[in-house]
Amino acid sequence: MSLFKKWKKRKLNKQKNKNGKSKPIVRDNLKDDMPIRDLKTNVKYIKTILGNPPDLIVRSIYIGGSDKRAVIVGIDGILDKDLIQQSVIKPLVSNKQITIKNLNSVRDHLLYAQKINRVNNMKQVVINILEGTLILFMEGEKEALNIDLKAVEARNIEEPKSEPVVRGPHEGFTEALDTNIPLIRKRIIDPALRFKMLKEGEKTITNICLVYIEDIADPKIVDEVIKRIESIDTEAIVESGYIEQFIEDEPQSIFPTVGNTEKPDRLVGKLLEGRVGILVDSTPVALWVPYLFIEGFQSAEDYYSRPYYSSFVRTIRHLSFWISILLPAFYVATQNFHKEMLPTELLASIAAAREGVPFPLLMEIVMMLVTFEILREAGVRMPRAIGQAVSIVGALILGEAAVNAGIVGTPTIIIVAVAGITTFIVTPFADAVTILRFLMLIPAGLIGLYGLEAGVLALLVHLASLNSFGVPYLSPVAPLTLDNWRDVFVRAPLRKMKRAPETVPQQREVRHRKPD
Amino acid sequence: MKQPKWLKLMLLIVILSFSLTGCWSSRELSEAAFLAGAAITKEDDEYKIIFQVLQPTQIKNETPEAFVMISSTGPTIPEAIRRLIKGLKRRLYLTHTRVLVVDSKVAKEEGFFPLLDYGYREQQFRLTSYLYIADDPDGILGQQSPLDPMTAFGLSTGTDTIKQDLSEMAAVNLKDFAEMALGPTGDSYVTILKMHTEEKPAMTHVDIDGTALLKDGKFVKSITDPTVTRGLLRFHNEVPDGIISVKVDHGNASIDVLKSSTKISPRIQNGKLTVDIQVQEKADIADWESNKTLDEKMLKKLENNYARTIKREMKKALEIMRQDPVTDVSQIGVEVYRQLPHYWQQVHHDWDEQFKNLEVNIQVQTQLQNMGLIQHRNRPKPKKNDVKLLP
Repeated sequence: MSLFKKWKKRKLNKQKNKNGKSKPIVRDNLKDDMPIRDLKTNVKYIKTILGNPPDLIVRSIYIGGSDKRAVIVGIDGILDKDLIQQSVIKPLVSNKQITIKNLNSVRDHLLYAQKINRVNNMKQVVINILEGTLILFMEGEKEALNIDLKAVEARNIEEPKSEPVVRGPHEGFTEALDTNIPLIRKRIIDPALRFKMLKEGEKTITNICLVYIEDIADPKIVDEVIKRIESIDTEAIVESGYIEQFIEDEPQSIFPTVGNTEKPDRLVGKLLEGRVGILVDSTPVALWVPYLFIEGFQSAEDYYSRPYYSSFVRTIRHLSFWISILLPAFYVATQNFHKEMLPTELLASIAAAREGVPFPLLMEIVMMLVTFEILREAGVRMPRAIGQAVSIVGALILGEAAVNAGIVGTPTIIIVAVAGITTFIVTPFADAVTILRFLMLIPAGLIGLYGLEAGVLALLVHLASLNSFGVPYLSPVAPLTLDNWRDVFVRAPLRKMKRAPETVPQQREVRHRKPD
Repeated sequence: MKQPKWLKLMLLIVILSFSLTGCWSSRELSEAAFLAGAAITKEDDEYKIIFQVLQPTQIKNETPEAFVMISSTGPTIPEAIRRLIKGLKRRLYLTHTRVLVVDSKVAKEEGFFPLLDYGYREQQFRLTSYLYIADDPDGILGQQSPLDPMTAFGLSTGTDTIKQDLSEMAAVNLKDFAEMALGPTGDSYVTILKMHTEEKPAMTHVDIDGTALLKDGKFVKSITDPTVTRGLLRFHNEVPDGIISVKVDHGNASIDVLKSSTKISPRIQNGKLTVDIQVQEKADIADWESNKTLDEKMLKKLENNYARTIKREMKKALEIMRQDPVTDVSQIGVEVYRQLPHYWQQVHHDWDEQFKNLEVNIQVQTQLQNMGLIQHRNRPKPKKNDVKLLP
């Protein structure tokens, strides 16, 4: 019900936007109705618009078998030079047998390229040239041919650095959409697999490709994704993160409501559960929606390994998430407010370590946590060779020296280290966890465990209030769908996971059924 | 310029937070002093409390004694405790107080109630702190523990261990004491400690000097024999483990108790109260020092002697309880109160008299289960002997 209302609301908003202003796609001096005229004018026009760029290819030729001139225009580098010679220039020039009368006969008889379209205005011509197609003008024609000879410039398929696995495919998406789509195609041989191309970004005109399986994914969610992407009003989409920030449900929350991955196998798994994937040109990071909280604790490898260790590791991840957020706050609360809670011997040794330390405990913890974040950021941003040195300096010298100098107590170092390490176990929430850790210190330092509990409660309330494309963020935990718990805190054996997850709206109930 | 609403709200919160002078009840560890144990005596009508206070810097230095002993006096216990701040100059935390040793003179004259009222009323004390009586309480508390850097902690963990593995010590904490002393009979018991001085090379250490029996919180008499203390503990069903030596006609044997359960069932027979006590024990043979073969016959004998030992210990304990002034710490009164509440209403005024003349039947069933790794005995078999061995 709420899902429906949301759509309705979105729809209304969308219509308002449409009536409000129309979206200019290209620059103002590119008029929509600029017709195609004679060859010289066309070339001059293109040169003016593009500012006579050095990499512009303009080649004028006589078409064999006729007395007509033609001009091909394109941009060097984006186009495949060999292909231009082989499949455009050579057949055009060397033609003797076939009589050429118009553009259609050129297209049908001479050109070897696979994808050829007709274009009828100069605005489209300019955009096509910039996108990397070859344009062929012919004398006396009111239209031009748009020949796709794009050169695919992409790095090799490598293992994504952000999501390494021990067991499972090591392929990762690359920056080229043209190599990413086949990576999905080869994994799902299903006629219902759909790719839908969209273009967004006023200046970047980025290719965005929606992926979904038509007979699994909920059409309402697909439509919603399309609507949201179409309503993006921005100059540039450089990376999929831009799209994520424009289409997410809860931009104010520190928790992500759009999933991302660099692994095609992972995205395929999501598609098969009825989710909608979003591939963006020039980035290896693909998105998927709807994204639930529990997905942050799942890894592709969970499904490739046998269920026992996977389940164990998953429990560890859940534990780590809470340890990472709460441990420093808990430490401060118990020491400053609830000294009776600690076992006497533990208290004695902590007291021994804290004796003679100059700062209040809260300040000490915040100081060390900030230091940790600085070291971490330094380690990430530095060139790899120096990054190593930074971590050594951080771990050994700072930690050891701070304790020996009596500036911080040893237990503080342990607490900060444990909290820091556990951050990286649940990578999707690493940034949220880091912020929450500091936030939780405030109530814990002010009023102890009572404040900590209030903080946790507030966090849970916030999580429960989130939605991702109409799906409650905490489902299947809240609202409770016990049947889906096969894949939440533990990972049930695959043969026990026949039913499709109810939490993701989709068109079927069972993953696979043998034909009777 | 128009400011957004949330900005004003944030400013308000920030400004208001300055009015909070400090975090309520927040206290840094380095501003706190932790009391580990207390010895209570009386001097010239004023309580003198000697405290053992945790000294964290000493733990760091790994010295054998990580504590300081410091005393303070006052007309009441809480006042004496508060005055301690003068000496320690830190805020006191009583939450980790683990042992309370009371001077036996004070226990005899004043009893425990005036001493412990603060312990029960103040929320900081733990009900798991152990209670002891000693002639020289501060000496006992300060006596260096063989293995622990904190003698108070050593004493309390030691009591836990003795309770589990030896069954010769009445481990009584604040909760147990309240249960007994505020229970139907009002009688209770507490362990007496003494110093165990031996010649070199043995180390002076704290030892148990029997069990004190208390009437209305006052120390009236004591059980000095540890085996009788064990008998007392059997009434309370508190013998989880322990070694009992049993005499058989050919020598000594040791029995390792595995499981012991006591059931007290009072009943009224011909208008007279009779109490049946059933003890069931399972045990292993820990040691067989005789040169006789441990055959089935001998085993039966051993079982019987074992049962007789238990019965004797319990009877002895009962006998001491029945001596004047009568202290019923045998749970019999409690069981009567529980099982025959109407009858208890009639007799509780002169329960001491009733208890003295009560008929108590003690039945002991023992079962020896295991002989350990070697069978029968550890001596060569007599050549001619051909006894039937145990299966």
